[in-house]
Amino acid sequence: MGGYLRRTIYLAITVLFVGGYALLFIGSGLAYVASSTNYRIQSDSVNIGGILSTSTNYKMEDTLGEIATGFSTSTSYKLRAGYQQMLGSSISISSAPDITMNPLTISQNSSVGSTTWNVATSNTTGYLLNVRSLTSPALVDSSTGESFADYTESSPGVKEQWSVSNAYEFGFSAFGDDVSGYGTDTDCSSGADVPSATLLWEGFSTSNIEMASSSLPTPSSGTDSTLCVATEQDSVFAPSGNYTTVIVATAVTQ
Amino acid sequence: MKTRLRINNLPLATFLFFGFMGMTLLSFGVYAASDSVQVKQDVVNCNNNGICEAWESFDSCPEDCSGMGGRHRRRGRGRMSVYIPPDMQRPGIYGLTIEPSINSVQISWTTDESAIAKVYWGRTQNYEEASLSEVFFSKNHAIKIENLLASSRYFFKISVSDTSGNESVIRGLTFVTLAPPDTEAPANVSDLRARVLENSILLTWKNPRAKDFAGVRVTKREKFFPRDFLEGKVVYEGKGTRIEDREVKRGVRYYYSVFSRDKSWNYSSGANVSALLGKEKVVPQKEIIEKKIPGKLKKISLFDFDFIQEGKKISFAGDRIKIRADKNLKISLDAKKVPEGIKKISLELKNPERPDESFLFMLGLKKDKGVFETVVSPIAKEGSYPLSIFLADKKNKEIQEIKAEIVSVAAKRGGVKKVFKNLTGSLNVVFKRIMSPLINAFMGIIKLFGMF
Repeated sequence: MGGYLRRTIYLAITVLFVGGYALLFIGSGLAYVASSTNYRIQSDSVNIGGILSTSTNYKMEDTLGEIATGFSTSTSYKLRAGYQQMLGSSISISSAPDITMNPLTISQNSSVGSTTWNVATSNTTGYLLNVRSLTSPALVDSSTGESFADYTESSPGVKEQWSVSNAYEFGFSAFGDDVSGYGTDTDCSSGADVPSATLLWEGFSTSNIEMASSSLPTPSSGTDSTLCVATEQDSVFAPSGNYTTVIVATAVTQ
Repeated sequence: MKTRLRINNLPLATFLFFGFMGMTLLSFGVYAASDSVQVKQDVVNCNNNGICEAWESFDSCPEDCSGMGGRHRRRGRGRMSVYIPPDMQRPGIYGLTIEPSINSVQISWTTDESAIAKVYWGRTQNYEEASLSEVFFSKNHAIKIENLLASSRYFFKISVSDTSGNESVIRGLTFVTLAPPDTEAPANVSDLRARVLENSILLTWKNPRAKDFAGVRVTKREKFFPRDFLEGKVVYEGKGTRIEDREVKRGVRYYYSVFSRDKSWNYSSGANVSALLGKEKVVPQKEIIEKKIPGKLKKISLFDFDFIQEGKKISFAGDRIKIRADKNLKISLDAKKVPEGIKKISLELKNPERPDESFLFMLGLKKDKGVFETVVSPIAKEGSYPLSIFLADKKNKEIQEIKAEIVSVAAKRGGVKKVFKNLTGSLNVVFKRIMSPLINAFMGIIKLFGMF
């Protein structure tokens, strides 16, 4: 009787995985299970049970028969194993408008500008929003090669209240629900073209600098994060010209 | 009861299981989305009025403060400068324009930054003649080089240096100055004669042989010779060598001037002749010059005149001027040497074979050269031609007459020495090529007989 039970169990397990593997193989042969012009679903669940249930406000898919599921990490990889884990990895970022700052002149020594990104993700462990400049220093007049120095913190890498002395510099700050470490203001300026005194500022780098983050999924409408940029010439005048930079914001699931 | 799977007893199932899981896990990853924005910041710290004001500096406003010196200096509003990395960029040179004229050239160009320029030039690529430097830094450059030779090729190079001392040099540039316009008057017609016919006066002449000869204009007056091609009545215009003037009255003396013209519309000083209807004879020059009157004015001598052939002054002593019979003869007098009151200068060249026959020419004033001059066509025949130069006042009264003798000599054709030299050369050739081999052969034969 015990031998019969053991054989039965072995047989059941074998049938389970042979069948599952065979189904997956068939799915792989098709490459994906559903597609449209721009997207395709690589795979859906292979299991021994489950059903799609719907009501007026909700719908639910359950599954039966999965094992070895869960979230695992290594130095280089993150693994979400199990039924429909991949659904948590979707993320999007809005297209933010360019920033045109008011000109600096012999009577206007500072200028402030801003732009806002909206990040939406259903990732269960949230996201990171990083910013970086394409050049170093960031703000350059390409026709003359002249540039603003990137904002120099008193202690490198430590954000601080805006302060420029005997130089002309370009820096940034941020505010938003998922922004932390950049002060408390919800406005880039303390006055007209005066960098906010209650925000903390730092200089751009060609390496990513974390501007916002969350360990939870965002609301379906996403979360706004505002980038503030500021320039100031103090004691010395920047050479006349047209200075530009490109700031890249990257939202990444974590 | 807790069921525990034993892997060793299920090798196939284990393989299938992990294969299945692997395929599933490959479908997952970290997702990211990005966006970029451009940040624009204009700076207008320069009012571009060309004045380096207190708040402007070379760094903030090079347009107004070019050429103000180094890059480190006190700034406007009492502020101190900051270090700016040294400028290592050489100035670029663009839009080079070269505008040569006859004796000068205008060279202009631009640089992409304020720079100061120096131009070197010369007739060779050593640029040996001179150089010219600018004194201000600028983006726009223009240099005029003067006192150049006409119709000449020059080489030049341009060196520009910016305020940081970075230098750009363009070598091997060249230009050719323009040829001067032809202002040289052609030679006068020669052998001008007036023959009085029954009811007309026949003028004949020989045209100059100049390549750019374009024609003659014959004019006449009743009081005196037309002094230039615009005076008097035009009797003839063309390339001919004779004209019969039938519009003449008996008893009236007619004064004719014949002006030759080149293709550049330069007219000669004029050859003159006069005639009185009713008498068939060549009119001597003396008839048109009134009696010589004692001049109160300072007189000039024959040596004040220049006698020029092929651009070279002819040296002479005494009153004999030796000239080439086959070349034009230009007779010129510096206008500054002409005494006050002298308004007309003419010369008479007599035919040595017929003393009653003479040819008259006027010396025209060339204002651009400041000289009175005339060009006489080649005399052609060898001989001694009596020359009289008459200076007259505005009423055509003769104030001074200067006499001389033109000795016309034919072109050299080698002479006896050259003939002898040619003959000697020919004999040498004959000796070397014919006689010498014969003599050598003959001597060889003699030696052979001597051996035997």
